[in-house]
Amino acid sequence: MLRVENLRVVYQEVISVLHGVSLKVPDGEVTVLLGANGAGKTTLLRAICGLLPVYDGKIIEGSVLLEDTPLHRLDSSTIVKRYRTTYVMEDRPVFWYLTAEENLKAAAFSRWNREVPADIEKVMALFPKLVSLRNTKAGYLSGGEQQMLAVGMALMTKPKILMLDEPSLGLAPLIVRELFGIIRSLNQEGLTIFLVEQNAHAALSVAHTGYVIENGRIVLDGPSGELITNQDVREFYLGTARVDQKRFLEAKRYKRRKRWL
Amino acid sequence: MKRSYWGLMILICTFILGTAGLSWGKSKTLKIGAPIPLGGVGGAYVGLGWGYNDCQAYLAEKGGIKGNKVTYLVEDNRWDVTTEIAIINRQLSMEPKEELVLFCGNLITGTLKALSEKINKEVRIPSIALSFSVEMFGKQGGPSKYPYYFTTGPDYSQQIGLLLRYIKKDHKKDAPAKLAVVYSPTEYGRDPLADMKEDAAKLGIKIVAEEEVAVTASDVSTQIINIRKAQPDYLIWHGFLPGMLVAPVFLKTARQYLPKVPILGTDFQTSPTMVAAGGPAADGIIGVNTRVQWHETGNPFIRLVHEQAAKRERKIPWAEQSYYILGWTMALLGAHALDVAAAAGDLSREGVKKALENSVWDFNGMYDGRKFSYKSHKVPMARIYRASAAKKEWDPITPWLDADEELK
Amino acid sequence: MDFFLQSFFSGMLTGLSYGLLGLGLVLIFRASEAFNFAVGEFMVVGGFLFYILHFSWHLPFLIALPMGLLAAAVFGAIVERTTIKSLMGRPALSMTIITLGLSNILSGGIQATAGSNPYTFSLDLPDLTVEAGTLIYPSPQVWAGILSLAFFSLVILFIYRTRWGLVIQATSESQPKALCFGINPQFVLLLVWAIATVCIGASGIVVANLGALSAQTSLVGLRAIPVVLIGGLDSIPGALVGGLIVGVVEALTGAYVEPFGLIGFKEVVPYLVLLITLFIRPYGLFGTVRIERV
Repeated sequence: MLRVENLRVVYQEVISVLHGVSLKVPDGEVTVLLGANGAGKTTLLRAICGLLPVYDGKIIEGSVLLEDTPLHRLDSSTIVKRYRTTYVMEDRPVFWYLTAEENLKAAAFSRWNREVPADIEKVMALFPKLVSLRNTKAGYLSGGEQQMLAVGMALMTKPKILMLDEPSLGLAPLIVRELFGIIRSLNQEGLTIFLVEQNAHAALSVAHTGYVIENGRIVLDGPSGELITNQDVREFYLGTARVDQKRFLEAKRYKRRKRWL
Repeated sequence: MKRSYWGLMILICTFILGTAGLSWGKSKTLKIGAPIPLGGVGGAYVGLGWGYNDCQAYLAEKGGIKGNKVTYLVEDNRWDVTTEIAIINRQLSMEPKEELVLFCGNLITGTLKALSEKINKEVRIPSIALSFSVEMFGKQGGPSKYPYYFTTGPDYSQQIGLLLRYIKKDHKKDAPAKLAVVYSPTEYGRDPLADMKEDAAKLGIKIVAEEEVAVTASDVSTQIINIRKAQPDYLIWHGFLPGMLVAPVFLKTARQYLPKVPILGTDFQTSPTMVAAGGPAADGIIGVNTRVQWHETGNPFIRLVHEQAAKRERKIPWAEQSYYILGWTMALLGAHALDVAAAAGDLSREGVKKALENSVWDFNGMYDGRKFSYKSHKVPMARIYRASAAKKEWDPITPWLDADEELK
Repeated sequence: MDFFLQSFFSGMLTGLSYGLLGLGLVLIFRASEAFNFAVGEFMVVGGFLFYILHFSWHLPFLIALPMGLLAAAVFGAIVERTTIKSLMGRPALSMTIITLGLSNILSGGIQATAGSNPYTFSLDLPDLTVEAGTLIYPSPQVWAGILSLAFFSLVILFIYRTRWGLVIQATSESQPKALCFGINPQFVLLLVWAIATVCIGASGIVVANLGALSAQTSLVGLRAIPVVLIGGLDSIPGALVGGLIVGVVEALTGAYVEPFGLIGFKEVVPYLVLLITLFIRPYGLFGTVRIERV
C-alpha cells in the first residue's frame, strides 16, 4: 500500500502548494484524486515519484511510504526500477521524434531483458490502434493515440503501481471511454492504479476509492459510490447543481459542511 | 568607516614615501631594459630569460661593471608591439636616467618603427634590438637616421641576399630560377620585400608567387595551392618565429604539395625548435642564422655559455638551447657596451652609445675570432645552415659570411 | 579547371574534419542545451592525450588511438560531472557561460602543463596521397577526411541503431519525460559528453597531424561556430553539411578571392555565409524550426 502522510510541498522555497496531504492507495485497487486546476494534484504525483527537484520543488514535511520504505528520500529512477512505481505525466508524455515502437523500447530501457520484444507485442495487443502506427513518429499521433502510447510505455516498465495524471485531458468522450475501459481491465489483472482526474464522471466509474483535493488540502474522501452521491461532489464536480439557482449568495462553497482545520 | 579610510590613506602615504626614501641612498645600479617574448602568439622563449639571468649572475660574480651592479629588467612582451611599447614607456618613466642606460632585448620591428622618434630624438637611449629590420638598419635607414638603434646580425634583406646568391649558385638549369615567397602580414614580415625584389631582379631570379600567411593561421593549404600553380623552383619564407603554430603547419603543407622545392628561411626560422616542430617535414630545409649552435663546443663563446650553465646547475632542454645562446649574446653585448663606456669614464646614455659605435669586438670569440666594428650598428656575420631532422640540428653548409662583403 | 578542382576537394577534406568537430557540439547542445565554448580546448586535450600514448609512450597507433579517445571520453565525462551536472534544471544560458569559463581554465591549464611551444605530431600512416595529373591531395589531408567520416558514421550508427542511442535521443528531447520512465538522465548526459568529447578529440588529432600540436590549436575550434550555426545547432546531418560548406567556401575564397589583395578574407567568409544563411533560415539549414508563442 502506498501511503502519503501529512505531505507539505513547497516550490522555489516560497510557494506552498500542498498543505499536509494524507491519503492511501490500497494494493490492487483504483484510487482517484479529484480536483480543479491548481489544486495540487500534479504536485502530489511528482512528490510521490521523486520528480520535484526538476521543477524546483521540495518536500518540507511529511512522508511517502510504500509499505515501510520512505519513497520521498529516493530518486526517481530508483522508484521506477526498484519499487515499480511509474508516473505517466500529464499531457501525454511521449517522445515526439521517436516512432511509436522506439518509444516503447526507450521506456523499457531501464529494465531491458529478453522479454522486451514480447512485452512490446503485449502492449500492441492491448492498444490495437498502435499496431498500424508502429513506425510513425509519435509527434504525429492524435491525442488519443498518444495517450494510449504513453500508457503503453508506462506498462513497459512493468509497474506494480501506475499513476496517471489526467489521462482524459483533451480527449473525445469515445476515446475516454475506451481508455478507461483499458484502465479497468489493467486493474482487474492486478495493477494498482492511482488516477488523478478532473473528469469525475469517468474517474469515479472505474475507481474504488476517491479523494477530493482543493487548494492543497484533501477536503473529501470515501468509497467512490459515496462520492458519486455526495451533494458537494455533484454540485462542484459532476455539474448537477439545481438548475434554478439564481443567486450567487447561495453559491457559497461547501456551506453545508463545517470543518475544523 | 571614516577611521578605516584614514587608516588606509596613512598606509598608502607611508608606502609611497617609504619606497621613495629607500631608493635615495642607494648606490648606482646600471639597468638594462630587456623586453623579451616569454609568451604570446610568437611562442614562449624561456631560454632567453635564463640567458639574461645567468649573465647577470656571471657579471655579479665578476664584480659588476667598475663596481656598479648590473641588472637586466627582463619583462614579457608577449611578442606584441603594444605590450612592448607599454613596457618600454613604463621602464623609461620609472627608472632614473643615470641608471637605465641601455635597452637590449627583443624590440620587435613594429616597436622600432613606432618608437623611432621617441628613442632617437627625445629620450636618446641606445637600444639593441633583435629585429634585423631593413627599414631601420638597411640602406635607407642606418646610423644616420636611427643613431640609437643597434642590432645583432645582418638585416633581413642582407640575409635574403645571401639566400638569393645561394640559389643562384645552386640553380643548375638554363632558365632563370623561379622563386616563391611566403611572408607574414606584419612589419617584421613585410620588411625586406621591396629590397628582395630589387635584388632578385639584379640576379636574374624570377619571383613567381607571393603569399601572405597570418601568424595565427592554422591552415595554409590555399596559399600553398596557389604557389603550386606557379611551379616555383625555390621557396623563401620570412616573418615567422619557431614558436608559432603556423610554422610546422607551413612546413608540412609545403612539403606535401611542393615535394621537390627547397625551402629557405631567414634567421628566426632557422632554429632547432623549427626542426623539432616540423618533424620529418623539416628535414633538409635551409636557413640563414647569425648565431652559433649549441653543439659547436669548439667555439669559445659556446664554451663560456656551457660553463656558465653548468655552474648554475641549469639543465637546458635542447628546445631552449638556441634561445639561451641568444640571451647570452644579447646580455654580453649589453655588458660589453657598459664595460667600454665605463673604461672611457662615461656611463651615461650618450656614453654607452658612443661606446657601442666605437667598439671593435670579437664577441668572446663567437665568429672564429674575427673582430669587427659596430659602426654600421649591425653585426654582419651569418652562416647558411641545412636542417637535419634526424639529428634535430642545423649543420652549417657555408663558413661565416660577412654580409657586407658578400653583397657588394 | 584543375585549380578549381584542387581547391574544391581540398576544402571538402578539411570540411569533413570541421563536420566531426561540429558533431561534438551538436550532441552537447541537443542533450544539455548548452553551447560548448571550450571546444578548442577539448581538441587540444584530446590531441595531447593521444600524443602521450603514441609519441611519448610509443604505443602503436592502433592501440594508442582507441585508448587516447577513451581517455578523452573520460575527460569529457569528468568535465560534465564537475561542471554541468550541478546545473540540471537551471537555464541553459548558465551552462553556456560555464563553458566560457571552462575554456579559460583549460587553456591556462594546458599552457601550464605542456607549455605553448608546438609538439611534433606526425602520424606514420600508410601513404594515401592521391595524385591525378596536376592535382595532388597529400596523405595527411586524405586521412583527415577518411578518419573524420569514419568517426562521424560510427557515432551516427551508435545513436540511430542501438538502444543506448535511442535513450540518448529520448533524453535529449525531454529530460523530465525520460525521468518518468526510469531513465537516469544524469547518466545519459555523461554518455553524451563522453561521446562528444571523443568526436572533438578525434578532430583535434586529425587537425594536429596537418601541422603540430600546441595550445594554439584551440583556435581551430572557433571554426566550429559557423559550422554548427549554418547547419543548425540541433541537427546532426547539419553538422556535416555545415562543415563541408565552410571548408569549401574557405578553400575557394583563399584560391580565388584572396589573390585580389583581401588577405585573410577566408577567415571571415564563413561568418558572412552564416549571416546570409540566418537571414533565410534563422535556425540554420537543418535546424528544427521552433514555433514560439510570444
